[in-house]
Amino acid sequence: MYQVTDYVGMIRDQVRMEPYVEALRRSVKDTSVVVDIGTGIGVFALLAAQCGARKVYAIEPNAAIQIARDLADANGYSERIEFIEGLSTAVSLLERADIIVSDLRGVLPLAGKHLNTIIDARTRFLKSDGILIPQLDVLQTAVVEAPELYNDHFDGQASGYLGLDLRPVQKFMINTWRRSRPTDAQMLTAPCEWGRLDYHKLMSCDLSGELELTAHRNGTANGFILWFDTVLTADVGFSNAPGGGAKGYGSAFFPWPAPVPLSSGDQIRIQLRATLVDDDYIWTWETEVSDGSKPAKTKSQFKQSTFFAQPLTARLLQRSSAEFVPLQTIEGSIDRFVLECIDGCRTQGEVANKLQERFPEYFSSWRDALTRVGEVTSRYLS
Amino acid sequence: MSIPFESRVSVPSGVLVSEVGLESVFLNLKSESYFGLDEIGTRMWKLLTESSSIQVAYDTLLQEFDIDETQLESDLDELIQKLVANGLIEIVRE
Repeated sequence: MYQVTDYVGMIRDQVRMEPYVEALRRSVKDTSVVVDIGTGIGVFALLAAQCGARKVYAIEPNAAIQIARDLADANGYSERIEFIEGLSTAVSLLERADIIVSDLRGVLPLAGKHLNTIIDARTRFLKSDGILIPQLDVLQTAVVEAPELYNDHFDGQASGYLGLDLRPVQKFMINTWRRSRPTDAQMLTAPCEWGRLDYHKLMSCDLSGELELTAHRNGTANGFILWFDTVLTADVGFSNAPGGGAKGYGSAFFPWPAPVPLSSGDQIRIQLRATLVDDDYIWTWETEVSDGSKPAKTKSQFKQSTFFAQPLTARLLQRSSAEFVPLQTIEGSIDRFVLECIDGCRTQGEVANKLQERFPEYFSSWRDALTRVGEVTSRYLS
Repeated sequence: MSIPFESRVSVPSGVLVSEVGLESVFLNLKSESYFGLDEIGTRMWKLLTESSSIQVAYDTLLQEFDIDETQLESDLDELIQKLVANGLIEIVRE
């Protein structure tokens, strides 16, 4: 969940913001209906209104939407911007939009439910000739020599740090990618395109592809980075490539289990796959490095996945089994009682009275009971 | 239908396996589904996927466990059928 400081950081990132402003300027007309998905503190919505949009729907589940309302008041756009608190996938609009603007990416566009949200919004909110901002994200990779990043990532876990043998942690660290900000001088290969997310055509949230890279100089490779370049509209966009990208995103660094000495001309083949499972992506990267002078000779071979970085216990496994018989906990009983008390007539205060009466050992004060009722209603009810 | 024991078992590329103690958890990226195997199932899986044929895995299991031949054959066949049905292994007939 973003904090207000995160939103402010994003809007202060000029490499990101200026192209978004330009894309809105070129796209918005005085007849336009604009939907801003994940509006945050409302900046895209405000800019759309500033560009003359007839109507803007600004959708955001985070309480930051209140700041967006205040900003709309302060800038005189309250009448043209309708703020909707909630997830866009749970929202219905009375009219279709000419433009949908969003930035729900994390470090990468393949983040959580981002693509699902865009597909849903495109299908339900956008006119057939409508515009999506962004239009396209292009994912790029390069092999990097990044010993500091690599050592910071997990070397300390294995080498007797604090006098402890931390090798069991390695399995998790080498199968985890992290945000990074390498320089272009650290790249041992030219960038190579992994895939494209064309938001007007996108049907699947998964992406998979094989990369073939060639070392252009000698060095010790620690893994590869993945970043995106974006086309917001027509020829407006920005790049997150090392050495000049937007501040907010960075690159994802995918480590290898061991550093690999590369000579100029060595071939690196990577099968990279991102699969949305439940609410998050499982990333799998299979790497094969072969000698440039003897292509049949494999120098290194790795198979890694964020799946291997998920701490699991036998108890967790047991609980996910179809044969597992769950038992109601006291927490579940409390939630169930609250839901049963909500009948469309009782106030939250009245429900809190009943809750405290029913579970006096858990709620020593009416205020505690009211807090719990509030938590339950915000989770399940409108 | 029984799987011929002279066949070999291979693991599809989209299947990931992580061991948790003596048990294991599987993720089939194609179906985006998780599966679990208990200690005995995990041992069977390891032998099946590391042996040159199902028969070799069967012979090893027969030595390791105090179990009737017919029962083991039936149990192993049932496990293989379930693993195949969930896309966690492929049968290679040679």
